[in-house]
Amino acid sequence: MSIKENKELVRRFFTGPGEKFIRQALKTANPMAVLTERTRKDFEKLMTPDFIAHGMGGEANLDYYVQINAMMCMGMPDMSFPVKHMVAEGEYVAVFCNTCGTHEGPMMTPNGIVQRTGNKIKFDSVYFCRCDKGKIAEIWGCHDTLTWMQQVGVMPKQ
Amino acid sequence: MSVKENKALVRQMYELLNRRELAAHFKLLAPEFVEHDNDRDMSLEQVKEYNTMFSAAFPDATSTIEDMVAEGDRVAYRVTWRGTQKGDFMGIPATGKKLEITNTTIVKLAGGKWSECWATVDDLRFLQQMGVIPKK
Repeated sequence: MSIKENKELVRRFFTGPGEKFIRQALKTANPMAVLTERTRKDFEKLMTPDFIAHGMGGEANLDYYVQINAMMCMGMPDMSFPVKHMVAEGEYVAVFCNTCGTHEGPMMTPNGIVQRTGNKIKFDSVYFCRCDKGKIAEIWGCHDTLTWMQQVGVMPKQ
Repeated sequence: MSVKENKALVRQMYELLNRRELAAHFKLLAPEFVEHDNDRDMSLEQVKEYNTMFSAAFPDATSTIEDMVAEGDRVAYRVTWRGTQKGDFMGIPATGKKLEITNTTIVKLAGGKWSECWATVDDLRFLQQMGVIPKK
């Protein structure tokens, strides 16, 4: 695959299911099940079966990563990841983006699950993605975790 | 500058830091250099001050570049720092604790120097490792 194709693939990953879909899912009897199913379908198209995500102090396989992302939809239904920089070479794409949204539900953070605060969230994230034949095989994520924890109110602001 | 030369310049910067050759390291930063670090902006003088302070507080710290991706005038890399806090750092008294933290940076290069960079630092883990914030 070309660098351009790999960049497109990674851009699709950062699109997510969209706020409209998430808000509809939240009205159903089991939002987590609806969001998990949708995320699984999306990720099966975008990721390899042996996909691994590294970051936040551990590793996640595809199953676990689907759950983390479905949970993220619950935590920030309006979540978006505006891309500020993208650098690609060979099979790698590095993405510098903001993680943005409103903290409207339980959110999985490096400090455990944090219940809704209603706060606006915006922090820097960088992802290194390794692509393999048109799918993402591996992701390394790094976040401005301190700003994140301050915005969800578990850490005092300096 | 080719992509290959830009990557070599990034490696050189970290080798100089590992050898504590700070003056040579700083010479490779352009006068207008700005580091956008966790949404804060640091000027060349502030970066010099910060790196000098870090080197004194973590005298055994070494960096290892894990991955590097280059395109056009930019290089993105992940770098792991390992070391021991033997001196005061940002108001944290010497703890003797071990640091192991991986950060990611995208740097823009021009004319053989660093002109701008955007870094994401896992400060939460850093503060946990220094014992300032409890681990969860």
